[in-house]
Amino acid sequence: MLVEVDLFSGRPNPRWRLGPRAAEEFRTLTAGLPPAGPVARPPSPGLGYRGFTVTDADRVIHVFAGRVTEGTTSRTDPDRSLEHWLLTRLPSSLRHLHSVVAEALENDRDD
Amino acid sequence: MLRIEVSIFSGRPDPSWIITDESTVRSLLSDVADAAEEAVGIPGAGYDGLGYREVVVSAVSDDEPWPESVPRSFALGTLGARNPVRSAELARQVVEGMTRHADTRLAEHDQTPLGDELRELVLGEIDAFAAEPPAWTRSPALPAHPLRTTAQEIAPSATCYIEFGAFNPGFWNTPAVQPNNNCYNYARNIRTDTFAQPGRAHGAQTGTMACPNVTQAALADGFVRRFQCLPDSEKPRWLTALVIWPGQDYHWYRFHSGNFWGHKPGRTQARDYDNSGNRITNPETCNRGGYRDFCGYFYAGRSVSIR
Repeated sequence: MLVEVDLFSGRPNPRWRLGPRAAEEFRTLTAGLPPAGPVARPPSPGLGYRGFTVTDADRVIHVFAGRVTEGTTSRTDPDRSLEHWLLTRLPSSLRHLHSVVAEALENDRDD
Repeated sequence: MLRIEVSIFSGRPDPSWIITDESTVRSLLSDVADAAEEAVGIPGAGYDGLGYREVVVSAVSDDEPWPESVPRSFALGTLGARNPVRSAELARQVVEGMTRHADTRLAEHDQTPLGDELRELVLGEIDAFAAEPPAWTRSPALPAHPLRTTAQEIAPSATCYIEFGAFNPGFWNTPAVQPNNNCYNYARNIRTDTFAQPGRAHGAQTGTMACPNVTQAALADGFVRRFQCLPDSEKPRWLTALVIWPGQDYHWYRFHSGNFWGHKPGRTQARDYDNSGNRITNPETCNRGGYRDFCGYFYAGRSVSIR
């Protein structure tokens, strides 16, 4: 399972792989979220943090702004728990980005 | 420059190449323009089953000089044309040059290397397709796009000429282009499909995300600072701006006719508005999120080479 944090404009976005146990936990967490109506993905803010993209075999799941979308299906995550969970799975080589994403999540909460 | 892609395969990448020779480009576009009414189709609008489908010709930048009667991405050898036989003749003409234009390395070449054998295969398929086309509904051609303008830039020490290109996000915001081209591609106005990095084409890439370092990398690619005037031979000369998210990333903008700026944040869509949703009239003061350091303005002429 490949995780990409959509963060940069010029440089390639940071990516890492989740181990089998974490991947299974991600699937369980996602499946436990309540389905949402047919709402499009939240609009991209442009520069800066724009969410996570998780690729699980042929599944591509976008996690951003309290919305988890996969194709035309969508689930709500009002506490953004999945984004926070993914943030805790940053590998040590990307730890320096933790505060950047955490700050963006916190700022969005204030908006 | 033109990008050619033969839509023929299902599993492997389709045969693709870039025509860089300007006289060939002009000659081909001229031939196509003469026959646009009857021979040009919309990519994807013709036969879309298995096997040979069409030859797609596209601009590599959003401001390539282009005949008014021809869309900036069009199909030849397609059942989407009014006259598929004439369309196939032009497709043949394009494909015959395949091996002459194999110098520009594309990712597709790893699995689909260009060569005489592939060229003969495609030509045979085009002939068979034209002789016995599958049943299909035809579609009309698209309208053309506006051209660029040249304008003066005056500073106390210099008067330079630059080009103001039309804002053309449709070129960038397609599934094939959008994920593989970033703000640097947009600023230089060239699709490389490599998520281009400042300095990489000249062994001068930097990992330090600070104004002096990224500036040096871009200068190595051929960017010049604003008011270091470029000659007419460097047309189109774009006005660009570089900003930095200190320690993390860089970002570029490009000026457009209409006095506003366009940009493409990473893999997202090209746009003309900032993080507040306002149209960008000044990259120094627009909402740039964390990209708080403004490094300056630069010209990007035609000799700027990026990868």
